[in-house]
Order: sequence, then structure tokens, then C-alpha cells
Amino acid sequence: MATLSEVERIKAASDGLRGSLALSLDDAPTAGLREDDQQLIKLHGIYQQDDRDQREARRQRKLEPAYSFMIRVRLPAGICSTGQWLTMDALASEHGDGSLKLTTRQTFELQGVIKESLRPTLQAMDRALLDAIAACGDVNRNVIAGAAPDRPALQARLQADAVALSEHFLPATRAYHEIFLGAERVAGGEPEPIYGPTYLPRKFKTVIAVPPRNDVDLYAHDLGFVAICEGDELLGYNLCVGGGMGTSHGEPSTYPRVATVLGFLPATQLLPVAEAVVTLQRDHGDRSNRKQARLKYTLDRLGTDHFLALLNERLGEALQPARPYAFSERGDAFGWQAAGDGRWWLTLRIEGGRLRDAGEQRARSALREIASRFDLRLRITPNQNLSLIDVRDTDRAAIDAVLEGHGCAPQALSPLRRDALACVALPLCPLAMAEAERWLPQFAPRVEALLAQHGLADESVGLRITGCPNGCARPYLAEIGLIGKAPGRYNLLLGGDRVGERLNALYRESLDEPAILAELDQLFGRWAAERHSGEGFGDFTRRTGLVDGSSPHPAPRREPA
Amino acid sequence: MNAIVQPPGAAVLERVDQALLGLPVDNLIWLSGYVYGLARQPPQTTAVAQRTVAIYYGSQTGNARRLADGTAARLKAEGQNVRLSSLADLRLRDLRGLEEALFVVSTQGDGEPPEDCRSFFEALDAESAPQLSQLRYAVLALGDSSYPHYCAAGRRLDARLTALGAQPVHERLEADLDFARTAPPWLAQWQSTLAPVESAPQVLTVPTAATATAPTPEQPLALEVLSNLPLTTSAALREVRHLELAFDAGQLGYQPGDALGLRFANPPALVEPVLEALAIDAQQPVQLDGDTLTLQQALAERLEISRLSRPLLQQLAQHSGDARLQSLLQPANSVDLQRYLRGHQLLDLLQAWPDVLDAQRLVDSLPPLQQRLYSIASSPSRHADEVHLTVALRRDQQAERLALGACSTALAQLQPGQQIGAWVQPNERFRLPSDPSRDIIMIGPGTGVAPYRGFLAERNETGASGRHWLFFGCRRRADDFLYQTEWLQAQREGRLQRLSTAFSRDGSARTYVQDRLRAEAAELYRWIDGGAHIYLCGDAFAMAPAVESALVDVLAAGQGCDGEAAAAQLAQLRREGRFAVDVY
Ligand code: SRM
Ligand SMILES: Cc1cc2nc3c(=O)[nH]c(=O)nc-3n(C[C@H](O)[C@H](O)[C@H](O)COP(=O)(O)OP(=O)(O)OC[C@H]3O[C@@H](n4cnc5c(N)ncnc54)[C@H](O)[C@@H]3O)c2cc1C
Ligand SMILES: Cc1cc2nc3c(=O)[nH]c(=O)nc-3n(C[C@H](O)[C@H](O)[C@H](O)COP(=O)(O)O)c2cc1C
Ligand code: SF4
Repeated sequence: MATLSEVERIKAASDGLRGSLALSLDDAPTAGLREDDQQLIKLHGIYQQDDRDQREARRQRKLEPAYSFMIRVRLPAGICSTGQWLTMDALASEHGDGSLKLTTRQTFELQGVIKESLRPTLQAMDRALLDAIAACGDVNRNVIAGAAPDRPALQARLQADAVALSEHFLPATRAYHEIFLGAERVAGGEPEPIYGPTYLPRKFKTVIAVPPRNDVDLYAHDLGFVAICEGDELLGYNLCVGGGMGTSHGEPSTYPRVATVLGFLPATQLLPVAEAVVTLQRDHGDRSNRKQARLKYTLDRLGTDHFLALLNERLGEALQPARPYAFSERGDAFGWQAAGDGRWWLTLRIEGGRLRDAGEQRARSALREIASRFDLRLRITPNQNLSLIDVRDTDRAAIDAVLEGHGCAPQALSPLRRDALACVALPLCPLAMAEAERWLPQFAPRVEALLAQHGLADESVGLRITGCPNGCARPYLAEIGLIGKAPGRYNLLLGGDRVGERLNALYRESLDEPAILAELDQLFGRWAAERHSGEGFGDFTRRTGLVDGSSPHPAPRREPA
Repeated sequence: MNAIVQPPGAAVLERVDQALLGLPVDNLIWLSGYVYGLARQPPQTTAVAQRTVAIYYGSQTGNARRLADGTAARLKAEGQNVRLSSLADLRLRDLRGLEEALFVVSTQGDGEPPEDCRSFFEALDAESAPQLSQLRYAVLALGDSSYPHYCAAGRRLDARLTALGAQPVHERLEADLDFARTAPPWLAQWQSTLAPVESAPQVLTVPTAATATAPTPEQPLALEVLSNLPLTTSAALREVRHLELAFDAGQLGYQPGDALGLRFANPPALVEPVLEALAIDAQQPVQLDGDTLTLQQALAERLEISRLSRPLLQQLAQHSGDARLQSLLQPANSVDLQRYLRGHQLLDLLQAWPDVLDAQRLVDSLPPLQQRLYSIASSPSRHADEVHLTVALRRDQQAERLALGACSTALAQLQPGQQIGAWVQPNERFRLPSDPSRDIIMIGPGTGVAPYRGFLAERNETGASGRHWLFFGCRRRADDFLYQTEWLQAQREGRLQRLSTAFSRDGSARTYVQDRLRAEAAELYRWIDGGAHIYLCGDAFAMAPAVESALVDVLAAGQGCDGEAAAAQLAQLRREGRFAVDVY
């Protein structure tokens, strides 16, 4: 048998995810944690990071890296109250770097929190009924859910199911409460009824999607539920398993995978089915090689039929055949939308998910004022944007005025700018190989200008950029995916579709910005000239054979005749 | 020295020429000093029974010691029987029967004797001190007239010796920072009070090269700058730099705990504004100690211009007739005077009283450029031909401007490849325990941590089995934790057993090393009780007294005794050399 990976050893020896975290937190001479604790703290929703821009200068000064921590909140379905919002906003100033980061999985992150501020921050969150438990690490993470503002009862039901899933899979250990919130340790063990002592072999992500909008990128997650409805009424869910994005450059054994639809379950079966998938992965996932440990690899190793058989066995009955459904849209619906119950939704574009006051545009302040003045809730979208939901009709004008007054009146953006995604990347993501979030605001307008030159400004083209092949902005499902390889260099992937059902494929490797723009210029020219009516850019590149195969492996290029 | 110097014969010159042929200019210049050093070695005299002249020094930074050394060498050269020793090594009974003595003693701290002589002073004050009516003596007191207790240690010694019946043969000299100017004539006068030497044939022996080459302030060794990098971030309130200097192996001997003296020139940033304020031609010639040089040269290379001194103020007061200045100089106002001197720069004075001093008068009123010492932050066992320093840039916000420290500014500007003259200032009172199994407790906030970098390296290199505990403090962990990665690595590797830090500006409550000492009192006491040596280095004014009082608390808590008893115990540890202090 292959040896267990290092993280498995750490989890096993962690005494219910405690490790020496309490000592690490009090270890004054360093801003960081002991090595094992750096792994463990992830399961409490926290990552140790450092400002990579400062690394070399600090090394020369014989100073350790500028360590700080990222706290990722567990926020099922991305919805919070105004009070919770205000809490996070205040913490961003008091203990964070002054910004709120909205993620591709519907939650906030605080970045730049120093070690000594972790406890006060988590305690303040706790008072607002927020936590970071299991927001990262080898557990079921934040459960995300799609938007259906036009069907309020369904929306409420989906949110309730997301919360139920999230809570069902919370680890049983009280470590978080003891280490960060000051709870006393209660005598006696605390078996993990679902996870067992070593939790899952790898991160695990659960999603609920509501056709016709695939805002959640259903196919990118380990475990997906597609709401099957009759009007406003939820009948049950189609079960999807084995989606995932992460790859490593030069390692063909790693690949992105779209999730496989396995069957249908009645809504009442949600938790048992989810638990059966989770425990299957717990028992069959690879615990020796973390690069082969996600459910997508377990599924491919076991084979879909065998996996389904094992699942049915655990459930004690067979899943029903999958019900038909179809996606016709993707991304977020921006602007004001009437919700079915007389209230309103307003979805705001937050580029790169980075919410801060920047010069004249004081978005964070605007939202602070909105959250303190109006009766509404806030929903972080799966695309790093923000919706104000349950807004009273009578408040709409005042909210518009607040936004206007803070230099944030919604602007008419091109579809490209509106929908583009970029992950965090430099300077804080330790895995980044190239810029993403910081580059998007400069790069997107250049692509936009190219589209305009070819008369394509109003066309929807999905652009997603990540700083490395882990794929945090789900770039393998984009029409144009840019994946960082080295500072200033990206792989260019083409051929995703407009609703996120098909992976793209590698088109060119290691391009710098001018080369990317030159390629796009030429490709847009051909698309404008040769496209079928209404044909999307991704579909066009596939049909004409510019790319084939599946990413990220290079596909042989065939020059079209 | 012999009065008449004969040039060497042609054969000798030929030998020398041959040996020197083809050497680079640098070497020739260096060798000129080397040969001078050879010549200065005390010639050995044949023993003739005669009275011994004792020369005792009390010195912290080497000035008094060097004066005593020089005087002893001169007397020996003239055939006197000389006993040279530090007051630190002097026991009262050594004074019995002694007939002739010179005391050269500086004042430290707030008017205290140098660190290692304090127990001698205490013993001398005791009622049991012997009568010394047979003793003829003189006191050369070194000090700095900008301090309120000017030459206090010398005064105290003088008064006590008189009280014990000893005979002053020459009036005490209180030598200010310009002691190099004032001490030699006084010493010559003192020497003339000694009984003349019965003439005896002098036998010159060739001194060994090793002793001849130890660099001195007058004969510094040129070190090459290897690197000069900041240790602090741009967000730090004060920049601290790490300097690595190289020498050819064997040329510079030092031990961890020693300090390095540096020959520097006042940087242009300090000199130029002064020249501008003077509105005198920088090239104007001035006289200084018998040399003729330009005003600019004198200000840059020879004179102290960043630290204000009393004599300058006296000159200004005299020539300007300014009532405020005159009142500051009253003895009753010495504390105000010190505050004034520290809070102002030469520039302020020149701007307030332009035209009062002409170039020559200014040159005459400024003290010679003072030496600056820096604790050595390396160990010769790890870096055989390098010496490392930890230099804080002095930049004091004064009312009018940012006052730059002369030497630290000059050091900050050194580029790799450049050279700087240096010598070692040994500090025998700040040594690692001779027993390698002893634990050591190192307390050093700020640049006070410098010697411990050498200590730890030395102990690690030599495989010492004792444990190490470092107490460090700074403002912010992220910005000015000096050598953080090295300490953390040593801790991970088990070479530094405990590391206690205090960051005064990180949390809401200001924490300092003394707070950490108290917080760790129980464990600290176990270490001390187990024989650990305690070291304290860094700021003399605010930090050191606070740390000492914390140590007293630690001892009191550990022993269950009162503060007085604990203080006595700390003093005892200090006498035994188990508590060593190097503060500045
Ligand atoms: C914040 C976020 C990107 C964003 O800009 O929004 C993000 C940020 C990071 N991701 Fe991610 N991931 C984020 C969504 C994703 C997604 C998208 C999704 O799930 O819908 C993916 C692709 C789907 C998937 O999981 O396959 C994703 C795949 C990864 C991977 C690759 C996993 C793999 O199977 O290979 C890693 C690296 C790893 O786990 O070893 C990773 C690791 C990271 C880390 C924690 C880097 C690390 O391991 O130290 C990044 C922290 C940077 C920071 O400061 O936030 N992140 N990450 C997203 C947070 C989601 C959340 O709230 O939980
Ligand atoms: C044994 C020993 C070890 C040392 N080790 C270190 C070390 O490891 N690292 C380190 O950084 N420093 C160390 N120092 C201090 C160092 O020698 C210098 O004093 C320091 O660098 C400041 O020198 P400077 O020329 O830069 O500033 P200066 O030009 O001397 O002074 C700058 C300011 O200080 C004020 N000032 C200070 N003293 C006086 C005074 N007597 N009279 C009037 N004004 C005064 C003035 O206002 C002036 O503006 C040590 C000192 C000693 C004695
Ligand atoms: C920390 C410190 C404190 C001093 N305190 C005094 C003092 O109180 N009175 C005084 O006259 N001189 C004081 N001086 C000046 C020294 O006596 C003077 O620099 C002398 O030349 C040092 O001689 P040494 O090198 O032999 O110790 C102090 C110097 C230092 C570095
Ligand atoms: S894709 Fe890579 S660079 Fe971007 S956030 Fe994820 S891990 Fe970091």
C-alpha cells in the first residue's frame, strides 16, 4: 500500500483538529504558525499567507515573510443579514486589509489578518452568528446555491437546503470553539460520525443549481444538486458528481472534469444521498497522493457504473433516472430585478470580487450605508458579485442615490467586462504563478477594445483568468481561459460554451500580454467574418477546429483550410 | 624614546627596499604604521631595584585605558618600574605600602564609575578601608561636560583618597572630550613629580609581530565592506543596518562581547549646512593641533560637530554676551544644559549667533571627533575573517530639523568594496562563561541584541552544552525584529532554547523586555539558580535600569526575600561576573 500523504498524518495526529494551534497562536516571536498547524488551521477556515511582493526584501532584511491570515466565512447560499454584513465590514477595517473579498463560492474572505487578531475577529463573527468552520480544508466546504429571484418560495427552500447540507457536514470537533472562542474543553471524545478521524481525503465542494441559470457552474463541483421544479415547487434534485477544475502544469494525470449526472432523488432524500457520496469519497478517495484525491479521480478510477452501484448500495435503494433540465444562461443577472414577492433584487458588479473604497469609487462605504439604513439582505453571488435582495420597492430610489453618491452607480458595461472573472492570485495567494485579480482591470478593457474593433462589443464572451492551473475562477469552463504559468505569461485556452457545460482546451502556451492580444485580435477577426448566426466565440473555435481535445493538454492544431 | 634618532645605514635600507619591492601603495602605508608600532614596543630594561609607580585605570570605552597604557609605556621606556592594571582587578590591600600612583578614570552612566570598577569604589568607601598616608597620587578624570555629573567618578575617587590620608602630588585634571589635547601636558607635569630614575642600561628587545599589529584608534586596520543592508522595513521608525566587514585572517583578533571602533568622517549632510551657516570659505586654512588644513577638512575629519559640547557654548556665551547661554552654563543648571546640548545641533547655534565665531575660533572650540563603538555581532569561530555590526541610524527629531548621527549616517552610506578603518575595543567584562555547560540569559532589546548574535554563534560553533535564552524587544515584530529569521531558525534547530519577545507598539498595551522578564519570573529564577549567566546590553538610560529592577523582582520572588536583599544579590552576581552589563 502506498504511504499516506503528510496531511493525512497531520490530521490523524491532530487530536480533533487541535494540534498545537493554541501554542502557535501565542508564539509571539513569529507571525506564522508551526508547520503542521498551517495545515490544520485550514479546516477552521483560515489560511496562512504572506505578501509575496515583500518576500525578497524581507528575506534580505533577515525578517520572516510578511505573514498574515485569510479568513473564509462559511456562508451557505451566500446570504447574510445587514447586521452580519456590517460586522464583516467593520472587521475588514479593524483587523483586515481594508477590503472584503467576495469569492467564486459565495462568501467573504478577510485578508491580511495578523495572528493576534484571529481570535478577536472570529469572536466578533461569532457574536454575529457567523463562523469559518470547515470553510477550507479536507471537508465539505461552503455550500453554494443559484439564484431564482422570480420564484421566492423556491429560493427560500434552496437556501434552507444549502444551510441544511452545510450544517449536516460540519465537523463534530469543538476545536474551533476552544481555540478561537475560548470555550472549555469538554471531557470525553467527540467521534466524527460522518468524517471519521481523518476527515476527507481532499477538499469537497457542494452546489445547488437552479435551471435555467447556471450561475453556480454546476459542473465544476464534487457534488451537485440540480433543482427539478414544477413552477415554484421543488420536486427533487438531479444528482451530479465528480466535477472539478484543478490541474497542475505538466502533469497529465491531473485534469479538469465536468460533473456526471447520476440520477434523480426526491427532495427529502437530499441529506442521505449527500452523505452517501461524501462517505464513498471518504472511503475510496486516494489518501496517498493529494493530486489524485478529489472525487473526480475517485469516480474515474472506480468507473461511473461501479460508483453508482456502490452509492445505491449505501442508500439501500436505487436512484431514479435523472429528470430533464436545461441551462440557457450563465453568470449573474445585473441591475434591478423584480422578485416574485413584491420585493426587488439589485445585483452589482464587483470586479475581481474586491470590495473596497478606491478613490472616487467608495463601494464599501456605499454598502455600509445601505446595510445600515435599509431593510434587506445581501447575497454574494458565485461570480464574486453582490446582490441586495428582499429590497422594498420604496427603498429603490434611495439605494440608487446612495450608490450614485459614492461614485458607484451601476454602469453599462460590455458583456465581457461584466462577466469576466479573475482569482485572487498575487500578492497573497501562495500558489499564484502570475497576476490575475490585479491584472484584470487593465487587461479586460484591452480585450474589450479589440472586440469593438471587430464590431463585437455587444457580444457575450466569457473571459476567466487564474494565476495558476488550480482554476479558482473556473477558467476551464470559459470561452477564453487564461491560466498563469510564470510572471506575465499565460496559457490561452479556448472553446468553452456559453452556459458552462463544456471544457475548453489549450490553444497556445506561455503567451505574454501582447501575444495574447495579437492572437485574440486575429481570432476575433475570423469569428466576426466566419461565424454562423448567433454563434458564440467558444462554439466557433470548436466548430472550426481551432481547438479540440480537452484541456489542459495541448491539442494538435489544425489550420483550417 | 631616545632623544637622537640616527638614520639607518645603507645596508639596512637595502634590506628594507628589497622586502618592500613591488608592494602596492596601500600595503606601504599600512606598513609604515606597523613599523611605528614595532618601534613603540617597550624596550626591556635590566632590573634595577627601585620604587614602583602604579598606574590604574577605570575605563568603559577604552579612552582611560589607552591613556594609562601610553603613560605606562612611556615611563617604562624611561626605566621606571611600572605596574599597570585596571581598577577592576585592584584589591584594597594592594594599595598598602604603595607609594606612587596615577589614577585615570572615566565617568559613566549618570555620574557612575565605569561598570567594572564599581566594586572597587564601594570597597574604598567602606569604613574598613586602610589609611593611605604613604601614597602620593594624582587623578586624571575623564568625562563629558555635557553631562550633569561631570567627571563625577574621578572627583569621588580624589576626595576619598584624600580622606584616607593620601597625598595629591598634582591637581586633578578634569579632561573633557578633548582629553587628547589636555591630558599630555598634564601627564608630563605629573611625571616630573616622580623621583628620577637611576640610570640603567637599556636593552631593546624585538617585539613580536602579533602584539605590534593590534590596530588602535591611531593605527586602525582597513576593513573592506562586504555588505551593508537594512534589517528594518521602511515602515520602521528607525532604520537599523547590518554591516559585514572583512579583513585578512589574523589581522584583527576579537572575541564575542568586544566592540569595534571605527574611524569615520562627518558626512557631507552634516558638514555642508555648517559651512553654509558660517558663510566662510570652506577652503579657508585653519590651525589644528599644529596642522594647517582647510576648514572643510577640519570639520569633516577632525572635529566633533554632531554632539554639542560645553566648551563651545562657553565660547559663544563669552563672545555673544547672551544672558540665556550664560545662565545655562551655571553649575546649578547642569541638567538643563545637558537637555539643551542634546536637543540642538551646531547649526542651531550658528544660526542663532552668526558672526560670533570666526573659523579659527570655531575650530578651537570644537572637541576632536569622538570615537564611536559598535558591539560586534559576529563570532570569529563562525566568521574567521569577518566582523559584523548592527548599526542603528541616529535621526533625532529636534525642534528645528532631523538631527543626523554622524557615524551611523556615515556607516549607512558605505558601499560594498569600500574600506573603513577600525580597531577592537575589548570588553573583558562581557564574556561568555568559561564553563560551556553554563546556561546563559541574554537580554538585549534593539541593537542591544548585537553581541548575542556573536555569543550564540560562538557557543554553537564550539559545541557548548549550556542552554540559551534570549530576551529581545523592539517596536513592531513585522518591522524591526533584528535578525528575526536567524533567531527563529536557531530556535527550530534547538540551538536557542528559549526566545522571549516584547513588541512595544504591536498590541494595545506596551510591552517591554522587563515585562517579559517578570512574566517569565519562575522559569528565569530556575535558570539563575542553576548557575546561568545573565547579560544585559543596549540602551543605558531607559532600558537598563528598568531591566535591573525587573531582575531584582525576579530574584526577590524566587527567593521569597525583599527587594533590598535581592538587589544585593544581583550586585553580588555582578561582582562574580555572572551578571554582565554593556550599556550605552
Ligand atoms: C478565493 C478563491 C478565488 C476567488 O478569487 O474567488 C480561491 C482562492 C484560493 N484557492 Fe481556490 N479559490 C476559490 C475557488 C476555487 C474554485 C472554484 C469553485 O470551487 O467554484 C476552484 C475550482 C474547483 C475545484 O475545486 O476543482 C478552486 C480550486 C483550487 C485548487 C485546486 C484544487 C484541485 O483539486 O486541484 C487549489 C489548490 C489546492 O487545493 O491544492 C485552490 C487553492 C486556493 C487557495 C486557498 C490557495 C492555497 O491553497 O493556499 C487560494 C487562496 C487565495 C486567497 O487569498 O483567497 N483552489 N478554488 C475562491 C474561494 C472559494 C470559496 O469561497 O470557498
Ligand atoms: C560599548 C558601546 C557599544 C555600542 N554598540 C552599538 C551597537 O551595537 N549598535 C549601535 O547602533 N550603536 C552602538 N553604540 C552607540 C554608538 O557608539 C553611537 O553612539 C551611535 O551610533 C550614535 O552615534 P552617531 O555618531 O551616529 O550619532 P551622534 O552624532 O553621536 O549623535 C547624534 C545625536 O545624539 C545626541 N547625543 C548623543 N550623545 C551625546 C553627547 N554625549 N553629547 C551631546 N549630544 C549627544 C546629539 O543630540 C546628536 O544629535 C554603542 C556604544 C557603546 C559605547
Ligand atoms: C553612556 C555614557 C554615559 C556617560 N556619562 C557621563 C557622566 O555622567 N559624566 C561625565 O563626565 N561623562 C560621562 N560620559 C563620558 C565619558 O566619561 C567619556 O566619553 C570618556 O572619555 C570615556 O572614557 P572611557 O572610554 O575610558 O570609558 C558618559 C559616556 C557614556 C558613553
Ligand atoms: S487559481 Fe491559483 S493563483 Fe488563483 S487563487 Fe487559485 S490557487 Fe491562487
